[in-house]
Amino acid sequence: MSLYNPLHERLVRFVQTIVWDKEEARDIVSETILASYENFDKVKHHEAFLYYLFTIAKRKMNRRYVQQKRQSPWTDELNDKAEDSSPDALKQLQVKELKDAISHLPEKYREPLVLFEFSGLTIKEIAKLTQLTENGVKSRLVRARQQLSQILDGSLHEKTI
Amino acid sequence: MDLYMKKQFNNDLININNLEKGKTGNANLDKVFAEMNSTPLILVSEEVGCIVDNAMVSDVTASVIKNTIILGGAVLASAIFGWMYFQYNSHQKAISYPKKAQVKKMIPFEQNKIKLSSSNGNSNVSSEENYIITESNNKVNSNSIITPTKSTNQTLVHDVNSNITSDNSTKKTNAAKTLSKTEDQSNQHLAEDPKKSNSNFSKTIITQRYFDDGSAKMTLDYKNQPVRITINSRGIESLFINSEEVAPAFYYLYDDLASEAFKRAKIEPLALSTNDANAKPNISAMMTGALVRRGLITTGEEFSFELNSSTAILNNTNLNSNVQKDLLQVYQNAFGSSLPRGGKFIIGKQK
Repeated sequence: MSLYNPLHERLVRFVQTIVWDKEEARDIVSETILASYENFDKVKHHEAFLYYLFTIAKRKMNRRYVQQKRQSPWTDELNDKAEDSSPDALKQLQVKELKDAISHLPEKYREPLVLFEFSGLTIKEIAKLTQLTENGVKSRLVRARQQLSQILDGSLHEKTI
Repeated sequence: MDLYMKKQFNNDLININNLEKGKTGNANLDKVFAEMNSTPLILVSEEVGCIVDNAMVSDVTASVIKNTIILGGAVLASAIFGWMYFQYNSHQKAISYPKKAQVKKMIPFEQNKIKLSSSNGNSNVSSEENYIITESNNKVNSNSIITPTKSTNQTLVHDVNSNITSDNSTKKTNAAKTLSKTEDQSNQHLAEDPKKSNSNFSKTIITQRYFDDGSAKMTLDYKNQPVRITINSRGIESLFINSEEVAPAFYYLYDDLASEAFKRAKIEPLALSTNDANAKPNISAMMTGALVRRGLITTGEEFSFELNSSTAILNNTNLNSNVQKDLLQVYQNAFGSSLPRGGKFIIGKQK
């Protein structure tokens, strides 16, 4: 647990930003922790634990995504489940729109963006995790931000008016 | 490259080199990112502790259950195997216990003692030996003069002194050693590599036991059938195939089986392998065959031979003590009991 505790918030933010359904996000985090706990002996270096944990989480999410794709299409009901506990209705709406916008980003941009902006991983860490070069991660981050701005600017502008 | 694209490319370069968390250059986006980062976590670290604790408890429970199942399974399996082994053993004993051994066991010690005392006056021997001695004494009395064989046309005189003592158990090993050293052609099969055995037999002998009277009982697989065979130097004592006893009249059908049994038991067959060991033995023929196999005489040669408990004389020549002991063992195997002290076994007439 001493290895895990510093990474807890990063992991949870990573999962909860990508997965809409709260319960499902909790499940994925729990499964990730249990899987890492069961196979903890395989981690040879403590520095590698971060990559180990996030790799498991990624796989769990991908598996869920594939399963859901087979079972049922994405519906608005799932969007409704992603309600935030924030008291401010506008903030809540903005967060929901951000999540929506992130979900519309291509996979290759979404992951580096979430890892950088919400999980707080460095460029170097993301590069190692995604097996890209640091420059590759940087360019993907810039593109992700640009696309996100384009998506959100329109909708935010509309709301403000 | 037009001007717009150049400008865009330059902007990208500037952005890439100045990447900071939460500072996208778009105020709205930065604000929403900040909102997003301030949302509460769906799972707090205390809950994670509970999840791990539960997993540890369930792990322990699972391992306890697993160990219990494995242990229980092992105990159950060993009990079943033990029971099967017991069943198998008792089945074996019920079916294939050698008749001779049964007879030996059934004769009470006191009875033997009385018999021996009345016939020999010597009671300083074991119960097993008592019986054999008494039996051999009876045999000797009835067979003391043996008719000459056709092949040698020599007379055989068999003298028996009443003062009988013998030791069966020690001489079997002597005989076995002699056999393994012999260079005679007819005995070479005894020293053959067991791996080159007949393919009708399994390589593993399940049981093989020797008895004091020089007989051996073994269980083996023959053409995928369980066989129990008891042999001695005179031939087959008993043969069971698939738990059914084979009559002596049909022993000749199982020549390969009998040869294999002799080979494995390393017992010298004094007659045909398929001979009925319980039939009346032709001792002079057996002794002649043994002398031929040892290279002491040639087949068809006329000879005179005298054997007693201290010397062996062949054609008026004293044989050395090792050969004499070996021939004494041959006599014992052929006759079923040892040559009595003071007794003589003679083939032909010494010049």
